[in-house]
Amino acid sequence: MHIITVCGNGIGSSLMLAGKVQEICDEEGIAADVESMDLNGASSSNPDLFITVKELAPELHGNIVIVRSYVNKKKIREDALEAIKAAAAKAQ
Amino acid sequence: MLKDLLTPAVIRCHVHATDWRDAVTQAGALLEAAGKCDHSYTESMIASIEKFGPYVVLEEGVAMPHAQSNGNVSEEGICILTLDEPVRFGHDEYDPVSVLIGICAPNPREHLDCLAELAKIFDDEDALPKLAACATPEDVIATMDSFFE
Repeated sequence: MHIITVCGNGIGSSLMLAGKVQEICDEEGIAADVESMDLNGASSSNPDLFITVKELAPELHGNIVIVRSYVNKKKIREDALEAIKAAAAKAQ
Repeated sequence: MLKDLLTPAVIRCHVHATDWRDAVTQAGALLEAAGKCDHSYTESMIASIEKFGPYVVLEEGVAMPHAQSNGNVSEEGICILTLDEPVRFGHDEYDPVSVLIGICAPNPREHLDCLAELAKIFDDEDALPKLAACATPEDVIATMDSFFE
């Protein structure tokens, strides 16, 4: 499964989010390739799941889940785990 | 490594900022003075927030200003600025901000190691109050070290 985390620049926040999402997937035993991108790159990509914050979500098209935090693993897990599981099931 | 980048020269405690632009400008000035980037990078951190909104506010009270480099970053850098009075960035949930962690890197991928380490501190809910309470750069370094023990 391919997950893209998105922030405006693709270099700071989305990298931290990608790290946390990878950790969550590993902990849950979900095979995922997690990549971070800026908004421009992401808008022309078609992953199984985008993960971003609400400010940037309207700019993307596809399967999107919104998280409240780029860095707080507990919040990211609460917000995104169901969507990650659903996307993983669909990607199989 | 985060530890190697975080020296007293790139940390200021309890400074005053008139607004978020002033706070980001002061954080950028620390990176500039350390020879990490030039002033145009500081300006692009501000422009990035103007363009994409206050998403650099990562958690309650903490902002991580950064931008894409454009030949204006000479090496990877990090700075920490804490404010005497918090400033608002316009974030719905996590305003106002009293700790700024500025970052820069010549190549986006070079952020990775440093950021993976930095991301750990956000799993500790006491991180922000502890950093905000530090009186000196040395205190900040000792506090940051404590997160990695």
